[in-house]
Formats: sequence, C-alpha cells, structure tokens
Amino acid sequence: MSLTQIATSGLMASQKALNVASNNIANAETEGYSRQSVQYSPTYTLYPGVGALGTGVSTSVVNRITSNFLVGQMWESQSLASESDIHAQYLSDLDQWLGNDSTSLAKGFEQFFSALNGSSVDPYATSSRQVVLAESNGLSQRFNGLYAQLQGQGEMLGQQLQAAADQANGLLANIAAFNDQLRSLSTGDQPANEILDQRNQAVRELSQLVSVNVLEQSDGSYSVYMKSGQPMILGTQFNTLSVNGQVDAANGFQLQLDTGTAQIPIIGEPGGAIGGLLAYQSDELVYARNELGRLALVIADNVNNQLQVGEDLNGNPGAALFNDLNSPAGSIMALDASSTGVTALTVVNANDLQPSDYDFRVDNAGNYSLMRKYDNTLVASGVLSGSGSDVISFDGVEITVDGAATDQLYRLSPVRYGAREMQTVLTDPAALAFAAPGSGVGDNGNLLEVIAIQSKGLLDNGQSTLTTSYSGFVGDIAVTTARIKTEADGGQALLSQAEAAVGNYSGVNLDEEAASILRFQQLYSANARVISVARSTFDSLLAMF
Amino acid sequence: MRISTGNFNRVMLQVMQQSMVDLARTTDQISTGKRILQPSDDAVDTVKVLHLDNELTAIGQFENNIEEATGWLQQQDALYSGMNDLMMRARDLLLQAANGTQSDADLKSFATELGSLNESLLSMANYQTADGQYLFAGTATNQLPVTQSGGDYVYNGNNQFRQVEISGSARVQINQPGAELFFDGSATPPMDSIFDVLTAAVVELNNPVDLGSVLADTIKQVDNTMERIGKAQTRSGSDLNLLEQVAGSHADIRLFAEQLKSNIENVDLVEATTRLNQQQIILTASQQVYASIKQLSLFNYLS
Repeated sequence: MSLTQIATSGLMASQKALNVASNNIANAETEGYSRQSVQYSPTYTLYPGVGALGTGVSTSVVNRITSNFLVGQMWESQSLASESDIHAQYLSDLDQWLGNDSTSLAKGFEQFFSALNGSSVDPYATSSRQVVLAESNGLSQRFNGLYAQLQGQGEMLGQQLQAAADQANGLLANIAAFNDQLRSLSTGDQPANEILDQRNQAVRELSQLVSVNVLEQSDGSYSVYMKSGQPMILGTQFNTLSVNGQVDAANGFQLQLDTGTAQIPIIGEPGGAIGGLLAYQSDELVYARNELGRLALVIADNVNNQLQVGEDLNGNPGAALFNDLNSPAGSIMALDASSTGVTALTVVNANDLQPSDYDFRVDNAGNYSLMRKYDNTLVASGVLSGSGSDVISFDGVEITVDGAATDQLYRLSPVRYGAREMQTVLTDPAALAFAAPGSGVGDNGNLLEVIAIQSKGLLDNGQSTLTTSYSGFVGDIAVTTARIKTEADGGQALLSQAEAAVGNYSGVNLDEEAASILRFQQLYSANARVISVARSTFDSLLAMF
Repeated sequence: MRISTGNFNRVMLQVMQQSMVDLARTTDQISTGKRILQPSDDAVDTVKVLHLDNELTAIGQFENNIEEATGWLQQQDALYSGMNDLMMRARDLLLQAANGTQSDADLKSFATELGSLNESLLSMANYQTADGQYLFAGTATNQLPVTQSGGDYVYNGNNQFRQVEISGSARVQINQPGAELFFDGSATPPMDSIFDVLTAAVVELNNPVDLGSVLADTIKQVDNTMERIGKAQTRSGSDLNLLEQVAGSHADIRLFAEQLKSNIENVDLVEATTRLNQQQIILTASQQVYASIKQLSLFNYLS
C-alpha cells in the first residue's frame, strides 16, 4: 500500500468531515435537526500478523447524534404543555367574562334588586317602575350574553378540534410515508439521517395535538399509538382522526378514530391540544352553562312566584316578570334511537336544582337509575311500574316516563339552556304587582317580599343566596383557572427543559463546528503534506538514476 | 456540558419574552390601578371584592331610600306644622266665641273664618304630591282621602302603612293614613271627623242654639285632633332622626368597605412602579447580554 493511497484516504476522510461540519453549520437553526458526526475506521490491514501494515482510513458512517429517551421526554412534555396551555386559554376567557363588570351576573343582580328597592319608596311612580323593567331586561340580557359567550366558545372549540384533527391526519400520513421512505432510502449501515429527523419532528408536531406512544420497530418504522391504546400508525398504514357531533349535542364534539372499517370513539382524555379542548368542553363549559342556567331558573321562578301573589296598579293579580322556564326546552336528549320513554321534564322546585346534567338509564328489565354527572351521584333508582306513565323526582325536577319502557339511555339537562332562554316578558310598568292584594296602589308590601329574595338562602339547601351562589361559582372558576394556568406554566417550563436537553445533546454548537473545521483543515493539510512527501521521496529515488 | 447555538438563542428569546410579559402585566396593573386584573389572579380576594361590591350597591340603594324617605317625611312634617297652626287658630276663635261677650255679628265673622280654616285643613288632608298621589290616603294613594257625601265627611283611603328599607334590618314608615289624623274612631258618624265637627260649629255660630255646649265639644275635638297630629309629627320627627343616624352609619360602613376593597383590589403604586423599573432593567440587561454574547464566536478568529 503506498503512502499516496493512505494519504488520499486521509484526504477523503477529512473532506467528508469538513462537509459534515459545514452541513451542521448550515442547519444550526433548523428545527428538529440532529447534529451529525463522521465515524472513522481504519481500513483493512495488509500482511496481518508480524509486520502488519495499515492501509488508511475509511468513513464508515455518518452518525446522527440523538437520544431516543430525551426525544421521547420532549414529546411527552410537549403534549402536557399544549393540553394545559389551550385549556388555560379557554378558562381565562371565561374567568374574565365572569369577573368583568359589564358582563358579570353579580352586577346584574345588584342593579336589578337596586331598581326594585328604588321603587319601594314610591311604588306608584311609573319612572321607578320603568327602571325595574329596564334592569330586569338588563339582567336577562346578561344571562343571554354569558350564554352566547359560552356557546361561542363551544363552537370555536369544535372548529379548533376539527382543525387539529385535520392537522394530525396530515402528520399521521407524513409519518407513515417516512416509515416507508426509511425502508427504501437507508442503505447498509447508513440510515437516512434527514428522514429520521423529519419523522421525529412530525411526531413532535403530532404530540402538540394529541398525546402519543411511539414504539420503534426492528425495521426502523415507528408504530404510533394513542394514550388510550388505539393504534394510529402501524408501519405504512395509518388511521385518521375525525370530529363528530355539534355544540348542542349531549356530549358536544367527540373525537373518533377511523380505521377504514370502523369508527372508534375516543373515550377519556387523549392529551395534547385536542385533549385540552375536550377537557374544557366536558368540565368547565358544562359546569358554567349549567350554573348560569340554574341561576336563571331560580331567580325567574322566585321573582315570578312572588309577583304573582301581589296586585298591580290596576288592581289585577300580578303577572310574571320573566318567562316561565320550568318546562325547559331541549332538556331531554335521547342518546340512542330506541330511547323514546321519557315524555316530559318539569322543574317543580327551582330552588332544589343542581348545576348538573344527569344520565338516565333503564335496563332490559325496567330497572332505572339516574346519575348526577357533576358529582357522579346516584340520585334516583328503582323499577318502572310496567304500565301507564311513571313520575320520577330528583333535585327539584320531575320526569314522566313510560312505565313499560326498557333499554333507555338519556341525557337530561334541566338547566342547560336556562341562561339562553331567560327573557323579561313584562312590558307594562303598571303590571308590576308591588302591592299586597287589596292594599291600594301606594302599597309596597309585595315589593318588599320580592326584594327579600335577594338575601334569602334559596339554593343548596338554603345555604346560598343568588349572589353568594354566583360569587362561589366565580371563585370556583377562578381557582380552576389559576390551577390550570400554573399547570400550563409548569408544562411550559418542563417542555423548555426537555427541549434544552434535546437541543444540548443533538443541536449544533457553532464554536464546536468551527473547531471541527480547524481540526479537519489541519488533518487535510497533514495528509496533503504526506502526499507531497511521497512525491519528494519518489523524486529522490528517480534522481538516483 | 454543551449548549447548542439554536437552543441558546431560544432560551435567550424566552427569557426576553417572559420579561416582556411581566412588563406588560405591570403596565396593565398601573394603568388600570388594579392588582387583580381577572378573578384567577386571586380567587379568594375576587370573591371578597364581589361581596364588598354587593354590600356597597346595597348601601348605595339604602342611601337613596333614606334620601327619598327623608323628603317624604319632611313634607309631612311641614304639613303637620301647617295643620297645627290651623288648629291653634281654630282653637283661639272657638275660645273667643265661647267667652259669652260676642255679638251675633262677631260670631258670624268667627264662623266665616272657622269655615275657611276647615277648608284649608281639608285641602291639607287631601294634599297631592307632584305626581298626583295623595299623601294621607294610606296606601290607596290614588284615592281622594277625604270627601263629603250627603253632608258627612268620609275617609276613602286605607289604614295601611308603606315601609321602606333603610338598612338590612331597619325599615321606616313613610306615610300616614289620614283616618288616624282627622277621624275619631270612637265617635259615631257623622260627627266622627274634625271636618264634621268644625262644619257643625260653623252652623252653630251662624245660628246659635246651644252655643256653649257645641263650642265646648268642638274645642275638645280640636284638642284631640291636635294631639293626634302631634303624635304623628313626633313619630315622623323621630323617624327623621333615625334616618340621619342610619345614614351616618351607612357612610361609615361605606368608607370602611371602600377602603377594604381598595386595599384588596388596588395595586400598590409604589411597589408596582418599583417592580416596573426592575423589570425594565432585567429586560434591558437580557438584551445587552444577548447582543454581546452573540458577538462571541470562534468564527471571528478563523481566517
């Protein structure tokens, strides 16, 4: 083996190293790029044994510096951070609306009862009666407005879910395609480094949307599973995510996995941004809607009932100020086609209402159960009578059920639309029944009773007034918001750490690359020098002749 | 320990972004004057503020009620004084007429004045507020309280009171049914009101039959009426005092609640301004550090 050949292999090797270093420099800011380094090995030895001679160097492979462990951690913290981040965004909006003076119900209650109180000095005066009607309208509109905000959130959440599912499907297709490319592009010991990086980057983007478990198969392909175990990618095959339902459906929007032959609903929390959206939808959104609806029903019912025992300026029995919400529209939702047994739902005692949905089930033998979803409490159970219609009472509500019904599945939401439906229906100020019956137009006896509603313990077994109930609700949402915000901050910090760990392991350091370039420049020069020595050696030999 | 160049950039950017977020938040706090920008900033204190707001609104309403009730009671007080003057004058006339030295012509002129005093008292009893309500009709404020039918004065109002809340626990009565002022429940109609009695006295003065005893009865009835009016005036006077006291305590509670609310909710400007300065220094420092570290590179020395 000649000096020239050995030196040439050195030249080639250092050239390759210079290429790799400059490639690293070029990709210093490329998202997801893992730095590469050249792995050298000596070429085979001539005359092995005594007097063995090396024959130079070869660059067997270009290594990609990466740690599956660190990358996996980063994916996991990415899912957690995205989940709590989007959850916190929705909560923070809700939190702001509930606390804002121009939308808060607390202000609405205050102003409504203030107007009533203002009418008590001179109950005959039309001007102060008109203020009562105006504030009553204002209160109804606050309820309607907050509901509209929640509904808007529900709809936006659906759109974001849809967009996230679409984006996830694109990434799933990409990852499956990378799995395929890796098989055809990897040659011998040299894997297709750039594809590996791109695939990891795609998984990272996917884990923003939904939490994933990734298993590397022996052929180098990634199998990707959802947290709940359903496979999203196996080899080059992939399933897609889709979003089902609508904002007013019993369960709102639902995520499902389409396998081509079946559609699997994803139960539980899938993590990532999709998980954050679904968590807000099933927790705080439902709670807020129900709590606002409950307050609407309670104030409408109590004020109406009191006004109706009074007498108005024309000596007529009192009329209702708000519309009757006690036969709530949309409160009975059949969860399957065979459920037709529940025929009516009526609120019989608004003050006993709970801010919750209920699941009503009847099995094939007519055994029924009613589960309050808010705190997972069984509120009623028994056996249907087998004929006629049965009335089942729970939490201030009565439902009428076909006594012979079997196999029923219902979601009951007595208060879900209360805040949307609430309206001030009285328009004639003279029709406000402020007087006790037979007491004349200057009497405010009944009005004082209406005013007293403000400070009565109406809800939660007499423990909460309207105002304390609302402020308790605001407090609950504020505490949850603060908790999820803290989680989001923590998640972001963990993600930054995980990113830093990956970055510090796999990322490019320009100084390091500069040093490499210096080193390999030197190496190159040294090898070139060897060739020049070989030439001069050969020249010396020729000079002998 | 190695740090990748991209990571270093990211971390520095994050640090600067966080500084900007902190800075923006402090600026918000200073410009709104509020420490709590939304409930989740401090859930417990938010609930406290909601309760204080509720209390302040209630106090505001009670203060309005007190102001209006004061107006009503002062109006009544003025009318009571007027009625009292009328009654005093009527009493003087009746006493003069009863001293036995008056000529028929004198008695007739007493009759004329007494008649017009009776008319004035009637118009006070039927006093209407600016919006057309009768002050002494009980709660039947659209009924003319005292009318004459078939020579008899009758009361058309009711005997109910209107009460107004002036605090969470106290109410005051702001009207006075006329029956209690001008009518004697124990007397038999038609001679059951001061108007009937005075009318009868006018008739007697114009045409004396049993002057001595009629005048004595009339004086007794005038005294009784003055006593009833006096009682009502005393009560409205003491209610006015009560209103003043309660208004005073509302003012104290309001001051206290507002102070408490401000302590809870408002930003401490000195602290916030100091914080703003610190955050600005931190941001500027991060920027300077970033700029100067970015200049360090081995490539600067490669030639």
